Amino acid sequence: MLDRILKLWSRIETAIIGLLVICALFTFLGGAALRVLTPQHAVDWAEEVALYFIIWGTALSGSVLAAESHHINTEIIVNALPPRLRRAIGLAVTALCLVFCALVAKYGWEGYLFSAMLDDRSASSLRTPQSWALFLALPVGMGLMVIRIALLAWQGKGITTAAEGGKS
Amino acid sequence: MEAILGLVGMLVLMALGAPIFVSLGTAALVMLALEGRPLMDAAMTSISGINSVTFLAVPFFVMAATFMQRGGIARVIIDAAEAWVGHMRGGLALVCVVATTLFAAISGSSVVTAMAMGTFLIPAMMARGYHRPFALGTVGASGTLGILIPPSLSMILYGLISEQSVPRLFLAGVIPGLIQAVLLAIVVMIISRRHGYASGTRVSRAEFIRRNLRALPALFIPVSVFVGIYSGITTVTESAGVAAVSSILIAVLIYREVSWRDIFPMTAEAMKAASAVTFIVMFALLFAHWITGSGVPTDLVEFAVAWGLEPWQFLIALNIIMLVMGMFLDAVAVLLIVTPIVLPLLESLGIDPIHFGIILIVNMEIAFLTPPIGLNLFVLSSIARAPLSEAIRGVLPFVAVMIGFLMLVTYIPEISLWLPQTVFGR
Repeated sequence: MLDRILKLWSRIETAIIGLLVICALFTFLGGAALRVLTPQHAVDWAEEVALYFIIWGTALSGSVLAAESHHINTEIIVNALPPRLRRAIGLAVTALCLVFCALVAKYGWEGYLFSAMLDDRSASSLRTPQSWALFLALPVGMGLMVIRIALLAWQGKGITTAAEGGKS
Repeated sequence: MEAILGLVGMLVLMALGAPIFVSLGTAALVMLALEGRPLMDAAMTSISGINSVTFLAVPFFVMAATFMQRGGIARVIIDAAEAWVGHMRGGLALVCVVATTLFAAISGSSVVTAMAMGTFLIPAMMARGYHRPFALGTVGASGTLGILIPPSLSMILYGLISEQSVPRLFLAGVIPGLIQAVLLAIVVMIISRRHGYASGTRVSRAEFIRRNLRALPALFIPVSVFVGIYSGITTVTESAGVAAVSSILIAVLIYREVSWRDIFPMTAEAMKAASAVTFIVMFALLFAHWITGSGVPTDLVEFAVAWGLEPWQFLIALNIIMLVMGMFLDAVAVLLIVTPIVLPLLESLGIDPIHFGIILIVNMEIAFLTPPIGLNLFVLSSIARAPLSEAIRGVLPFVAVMIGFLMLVTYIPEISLWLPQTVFGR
């Protein structure tokens, strides 16, 4: 059951992420095309909106990356240790990730509230509120990651991987 | 003193296998809390840091690379390179160096470059009787060119953190990239002669023309990127967007290795790969926020002044530190950790940050090849299903040459700076 929930969750998230990137690409290039082809209709918000799409896409990716064990890390030293010690370290690392993500979610949420209180807006003609367009992405992404790490831990899985996961 | 503890703590967490973004972020958060600095501010710093148009180029270039790798673009470039140099001794290995140099001008990533080239070239080289370690070494070492020859994701990240111009950094990578390609070609020729590897056959004139024509659409991508950036028509990010769209169209419409239905899942995959790096960048920015406020860079400057450190001594020490770090850490992590610590020192020592950027990139290239953590080594051994030790043995001669090349780039700044200074002025 839990397994099915986790799989479905990954699929939904992956679909949203793909959609966000494609929206970002179209918004960004559309804005650039308008500027070059019909300067009188140029808009000043294309880059800004494309960035919101990408930032939200990134924030949502965090939890899928955790589920697929694709967060970049170094396992070479741990792999050389005896299995019991390795397991203990694995547990400690999972606990650390959980606490870290929860703390960032908490402070990120405070940041969101702070920005909302100041009614901080973007400089473009859209005057987008920075609170939900930008700052909310961090606590949401980190919050999802906390839930995901907890569910994975419940299944006895960690989020660490082999170093092959790295793309650079 | 506390700052040293913070740095050591971060390295210990990384060694214990914690994700790099968690290691960087935990060290920064704990140290900021101990210094009594506001943590809400810290969280806002990490997300604001990626709210930059330059950063937008990262997912777009990763998208372009994904479609190039799987969209048949690697194949046509190899065919074209074979038409040019395939008939020489050690032909296929030379093809690898030439094709990789061209592919690096399309792709901004070393891992993708090694993967794209290795998938075709390693089996082909082995079928023609090349030893496997040599085949692995050639692909691995040439693959590193991906981040030195522009466009380069690593240069974009460096530009983002050090606030240097990305177009300047791109130009600074061109001449070192070509020198590295020539050096690798020389190593390949020497080894091929020693082992008596066969030469390929020369292709007919009609075939030569056909293969070059077929490669034209693929080569259109780097040309459009460079013409766009350096004529001032497009920004780096816009070029990345154009590269993403044109690589999709070329892969789907011209080479037909990708169908319309593949576009969406491949895009999502590319975004996830880009996000794995972005997470590290976000918390590396937080780490930079802490380290800049902690006074470590100022202490380092005072230390350098007190010891009367010359720039060349500083650079040699730093190169050794970065090479050791590169053996154990992901190359991107080396870039993101070293840059904020060292940047304030560069000015007082009279080292150009663009020049330093290229030194850093060459160090990262070597980091891709040095065990125990060298991403290209893992990529190669998984493509060829060969033991890691064979890949390591294969890259050794190339690593030796690369270290010589690093010295060259370090001590002759003109190699990196001449082209950007000629184009943009000082």
